[in-house]
Amino acid sequence: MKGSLWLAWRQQRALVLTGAALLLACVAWVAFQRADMMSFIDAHHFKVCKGWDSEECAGTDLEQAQRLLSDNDDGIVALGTLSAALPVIIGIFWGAPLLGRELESGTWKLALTQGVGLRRWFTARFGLAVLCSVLGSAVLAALVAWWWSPISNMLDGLYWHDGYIFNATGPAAVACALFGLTAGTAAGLLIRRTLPAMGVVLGVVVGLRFLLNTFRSSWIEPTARISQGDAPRENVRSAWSTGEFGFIDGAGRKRPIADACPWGEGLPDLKTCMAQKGFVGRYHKVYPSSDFWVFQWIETAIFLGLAAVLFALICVVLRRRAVI
Amino acid sequence: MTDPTVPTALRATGLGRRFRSRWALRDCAFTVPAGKITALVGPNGAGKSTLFHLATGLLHPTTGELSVFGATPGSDEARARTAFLAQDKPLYPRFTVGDTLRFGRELNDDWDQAAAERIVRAGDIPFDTRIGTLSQGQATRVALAVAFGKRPELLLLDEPLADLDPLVRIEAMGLVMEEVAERGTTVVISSHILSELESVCDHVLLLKHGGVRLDGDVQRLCEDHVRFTGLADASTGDGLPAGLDRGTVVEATVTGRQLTAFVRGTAPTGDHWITETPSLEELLLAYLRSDDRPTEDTGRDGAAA
Repeated sequence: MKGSLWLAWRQQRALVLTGAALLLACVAWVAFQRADMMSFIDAHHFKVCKGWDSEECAGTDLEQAQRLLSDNDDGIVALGTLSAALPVIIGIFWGAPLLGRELESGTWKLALTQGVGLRRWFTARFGLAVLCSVLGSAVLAALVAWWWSPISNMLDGLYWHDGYIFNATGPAAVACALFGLTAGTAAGLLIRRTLPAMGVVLGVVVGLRFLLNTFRSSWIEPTARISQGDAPRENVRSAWSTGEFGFIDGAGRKRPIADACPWGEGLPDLKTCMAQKGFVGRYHKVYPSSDFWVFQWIETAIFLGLAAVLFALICVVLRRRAVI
Repeated sequence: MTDPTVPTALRATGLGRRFRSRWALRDCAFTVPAGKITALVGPNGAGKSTLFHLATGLLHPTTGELSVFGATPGSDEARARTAFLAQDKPLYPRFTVGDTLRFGRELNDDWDQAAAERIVRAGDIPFDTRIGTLSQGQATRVALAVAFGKRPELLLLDEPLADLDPLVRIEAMGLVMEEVAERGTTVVISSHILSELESVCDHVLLLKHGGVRLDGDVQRLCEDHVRFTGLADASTGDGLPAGLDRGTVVEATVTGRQLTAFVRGTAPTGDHWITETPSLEELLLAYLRSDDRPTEDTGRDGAAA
């Protein structure tokens, strides 16, 4: 490696090698665990099913399913937690010191008065950090998906909308890692101290994740599953229920009153009740599992957009030499 | 004051740099001759470090401009010809000495590895030592090795001797002089230790309150000034002789009935005055002590950046 790339490598090699070693350990562990899981599924001719309960999963051996879930869910949750926390870890240990430590220790004055200019110096170090963040987060996100997908959305296991899965896999996980890195870099540049920058990036990434998790369901309209008359409702299966049940009246309007026709001793049955109140059908609002990708791309766009804004800010501040 | 036949290393016109509402440097015009050693002198907060940062392109000026051998500071051309040793002598603490020299080699096209290694070896510093474990003096030596390995035409040294014990100070200064003499490097060195500058520098630039207070060839400046002592004139309020142009007075102090004054130009006539050509140190001290300020008063400056 030559020039500024050598410097970037020399300064980041401890991080790169530590990260690579941890990632390799994860790969080995997941490969072993997943092989175990797959051999169990094969050996017992286990029928994988997507759904909430025994009614939805008729034909699946529940005892075997429980064993599969209890054997693997803790591991997937641990891996998912690591993957979901990776953007914060990258922001703190890679982003914040990337410029923050240089400014704090004054070594930026040494680096920027050599033959290599600011642009190449920054491009090399930020580029290496971006490459490692993207690779690392993509591998971890893929591992989560690889291990989880054979037993995904099954009974009381892990569903696509659980934080351990949604935040830990897919393109949004990679985009979030990129955002964490950029946020850490910007914090280090603007605060000029590594430790406070670490605190800020922790707050920012965790805060943004919290906001996204809170408002995720508000971005797109759920799908209303309609059942005509008193016909039984469609099973939830792998969908994410909004918890909104209701009735449809004669004019086709949705009435979100779940308990308009309660069950009970001495009460009229559903058909009678609906007829009395003028309802012609029932509905249940859910996000089908295909919405996983819609949510993923929305959050990917948010993370990448914010990362781009912060990157532009970093470039402007560096160019104007507003540092010192 | 500047000899037009001598090529210029640094040229400033209307140079100013403001930090928020405070001017660290204001309306400075000066030239630093090439191939000479220039002492940059001034009290804390006078703008010395700011000037170095402007000359390396680490900062951009707010007003005016500064050129390094005709090029913009921080441009590829200017960076290739300039080496800078910042006041805190920054080095990467986790690098070994060998890594640090490799840093210089990787980041500079024209790198003199042999010279850099020679400087390190002369200090008996093993190449596999981590920078963080070096003594102050050893770290200064390695920092100077990086600076000289760059083969600079202009070497900027910001307080290189501060924090060093006297022996190391002499050693470091000796090292600088040796390298500079060999190559005819232009040096700008700032220091508080005026006596150490006197023996080495050819040119002096004195900053005070963000402005240039004195600028010129050392010998000529000393010859242009005179220090005289004698009985204070009781008839004038300030004790100076009545016929003296007050505008030429740099500094005057009356102790008891004795007057000591520095003036630019000639001493007053009369054999009751003991006149002397001041040393550089005396002259600089007189200018540093004197209260008058350059053109615009910007208030007392805080610490320099």
